[in-house]
Amino acid sequence: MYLNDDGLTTNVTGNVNQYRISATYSRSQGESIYLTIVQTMTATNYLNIQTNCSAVNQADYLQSLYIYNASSFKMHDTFFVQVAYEHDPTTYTTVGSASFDAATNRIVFDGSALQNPICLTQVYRIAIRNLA
Amino acid sequence: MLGGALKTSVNAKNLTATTTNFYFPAGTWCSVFAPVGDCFYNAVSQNVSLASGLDKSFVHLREGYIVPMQDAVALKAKTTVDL
Repeated sequence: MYLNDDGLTTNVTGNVNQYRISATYSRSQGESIYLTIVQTMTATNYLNIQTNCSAVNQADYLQSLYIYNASSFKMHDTFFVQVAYEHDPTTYTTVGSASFDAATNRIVFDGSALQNPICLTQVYRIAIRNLA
Repeated sequence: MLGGALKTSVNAKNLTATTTNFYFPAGTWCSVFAPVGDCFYNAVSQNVSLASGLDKSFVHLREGYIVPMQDAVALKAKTTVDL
């Protein structure tokens, strides 16, 4: 569970984003790691109608992903990072790539340089895939 | 333990000790902030020897957990207002 607010308000109604995040791993049709995000509270007071994003602050945007102990399961060293959004959960958009870092035994996605930051309130699922 | 997923290891009682045995519950544990080398697996709960000292501390992540973190350095945040 991930909860984010502005750190100041004591009124949670419409001011808090809360997410339940779960992970699954699949070797059918290539190798895929799925992060499914279910939003259980929405900061409706922060809704941007133009972008349909309810981010309270920068902590509601995806930054980086680290998957530890990757050598214990992974088959590949490079992956596409794709996002399916709430409004169209069956369509995945590639937003970048992730790679295995042998020195730290992690699969790493650095989202800090994304041209279009990913608002977590819009995300249905993140897929880390190698389709080879 | 910080919840079920994170464990901190710091020896504040003996700052001259270079290693300390820290108790870890059973499972696979990975160092979060100094992830060098493999994670370790404890079949049963037992002590694990880690470096210790004034500048040595560890946070370990338990296998099977997702931990969202806010990177204050990357976000250049000193307070929540800066986010």
